[in-house]
Amino acid sequence: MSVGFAIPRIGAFSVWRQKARLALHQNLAPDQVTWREEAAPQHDLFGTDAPFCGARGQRRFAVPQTFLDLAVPVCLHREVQRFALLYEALWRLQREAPFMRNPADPLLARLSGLERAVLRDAHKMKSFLRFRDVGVAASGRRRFAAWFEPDHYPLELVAEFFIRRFGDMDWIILTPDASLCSVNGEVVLGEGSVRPDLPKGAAEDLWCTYYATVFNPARVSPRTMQGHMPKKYWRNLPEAELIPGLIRGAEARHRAMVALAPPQRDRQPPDGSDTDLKPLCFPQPQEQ
Amino acid sequence: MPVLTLQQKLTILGDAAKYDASCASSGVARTAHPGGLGTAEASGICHSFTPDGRCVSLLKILMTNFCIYDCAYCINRRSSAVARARFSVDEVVTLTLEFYRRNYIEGLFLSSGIIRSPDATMEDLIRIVRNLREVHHFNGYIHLKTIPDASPELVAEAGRHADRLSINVELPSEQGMAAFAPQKNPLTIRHAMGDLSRHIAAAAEPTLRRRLRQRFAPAGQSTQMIIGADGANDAQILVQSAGLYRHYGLKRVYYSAFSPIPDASARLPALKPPLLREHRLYQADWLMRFYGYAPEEIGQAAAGGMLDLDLDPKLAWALLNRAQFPLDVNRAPRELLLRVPGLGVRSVERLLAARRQQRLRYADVTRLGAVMKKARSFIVTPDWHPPPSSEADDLRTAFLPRPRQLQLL
Repeated sequence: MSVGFAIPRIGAFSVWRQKARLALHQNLAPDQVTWREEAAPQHDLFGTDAPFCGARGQRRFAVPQTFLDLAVPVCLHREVQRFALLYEALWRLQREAPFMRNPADPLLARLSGLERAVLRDAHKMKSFLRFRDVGVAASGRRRFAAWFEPDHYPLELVAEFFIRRFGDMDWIILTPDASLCSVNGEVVLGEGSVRPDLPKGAAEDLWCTYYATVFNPARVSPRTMQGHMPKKYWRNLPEAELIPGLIRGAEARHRAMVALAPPQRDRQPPDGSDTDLKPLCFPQPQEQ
Repeated sequence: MPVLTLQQKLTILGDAAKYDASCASSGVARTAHPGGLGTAEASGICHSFTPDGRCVSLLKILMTNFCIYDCAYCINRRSSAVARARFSVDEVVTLTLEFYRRNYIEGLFLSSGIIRSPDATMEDLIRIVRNLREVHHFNGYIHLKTIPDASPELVAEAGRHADRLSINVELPSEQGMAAFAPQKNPLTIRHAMGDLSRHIAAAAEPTLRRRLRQRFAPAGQSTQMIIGADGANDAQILVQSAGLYRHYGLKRVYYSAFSPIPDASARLPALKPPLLREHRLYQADWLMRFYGYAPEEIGQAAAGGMLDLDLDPKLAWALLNRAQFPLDVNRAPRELLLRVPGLGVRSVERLLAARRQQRLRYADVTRLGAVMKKARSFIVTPDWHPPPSSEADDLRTAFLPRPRQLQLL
């Protein structure tokens, strides 16, 4: 017998947990359960669809906190196997207590990889999301809107961060898969959206000025930059439009600075060979 | 003097501040005021990266680039012909808040040239951060550059508002200071750092009466050293850093490769900044702070006092100390595992956890996140032993960057 469960995209973890408890209660081995995303329309030919919904008293199964910490972000990964992998881990956890304590276990290593990808995605969202000013609400609070395209579904994971940080303004974050809106401190998680047309403001020009200013042409290193800020994020970053121009002009700006430097009077470039240098001492604080 | 627009001031005062390497917004978690603006994350966030690969985390500006000092390496020295400007309190506050609301920055890093006197400058800096904290209830990150000669009461107030304070040691040697920053006294700088570190430590202790910690620069203090301007070599610099960490409990020492600046002083080299050298120094600094290396050990792998530019310092040390390797990953203690090239702090933690459950084989170590290209020459597992290499040089050659073939014209 095979049982199929459908997990919605929003609130995936709590639904998965509910279904997993049911499956475990029925003593269903991992190969007897199939998991799919609710949005995905295909049906499992041999499965019956979620027969336990809302059924009988829910038994709880003890799991270590580390498992929950892992499962929450893993549920937000795009990997279609994620729910099945988590259930397999849960199944093994009931039989081999040390399972979560062995990072060399291939299943745990796989899940940790998924977790890291989602956490990285969430971190990039906190870093590279940009709000744009969309006026003032009737309440007098300022309103901001942002569009972001993450790799996975990190919105639920980063919600707390944006709610805490931007408490004195109304804002909405739109992504292709979900949206998050805060009005007067009331927060609503909603459906995904298409790319909106948001107005540029004067602050954005100031920001671009600042960005161009802090760049040091003598240190140009586009590869290092792209390692931290890959191109896929550029289309939603106002400052990214400046990057090609800054790189093109860097060599000339650097040459101009060197050419303008006055001739050196008495020094060879230092090479660290000056071994007579007196190191600075560390005075101890005087007691008062 | 013509009236400057905000845009023009930002260009001048952002440019003037960019030679300061510190941009960290880490080390403190600020909880939100309900319904207020701003938090700080313990791990810090980089909001953007410029094409030089450095992160933009804070709005890093000078309050003013007018300065009474004449330090040779500094773009703002009195004798420099750069354009001068000064922000008003409101301008800094508005820029900070508007940038913050758009999620461009984690907060403000405010520094300044010295105008009138150290105390007068410090008072003006404090006026800005007080306004942010008390009038606008801004709860984001603030890093304030502290002026070594400022009075203790002013430093105390600065520490109440700022998350991090910093004083730059500027140059690693006494001769360097005398030659390039003759008006700054290295001893005064160090005394000020000592005072700060005691103040930070005292505030971190709960008081008897309230059991509450006082608020004083909870993210600690940091400093910056300019490298490549004076003749100090890497070994000397690292000994300096180790002393700074030990004596003053610094959170970070930043190394700033001396970079040519507009209108440079004739006494300094106009060169490409030694970026690779700076990178190796950061790696060595990391080894001292998280991997238990003594500065002398790293110096041992630095021929003539200079770190190997072709190999990272950890690999260079391991190649010089081949007698300690290979290590049995199933038995070796943590301190030694941390010295295996290709194993980081986190992979060592995972490795220790895993080996309590099972005997680790080669594939297991790979799964734990080790960089096997490096690590495999230094470890032993039941199914792996590195091929004997009689000559240490063979191994060194294997790790060197591949030579690039020259192109025909």
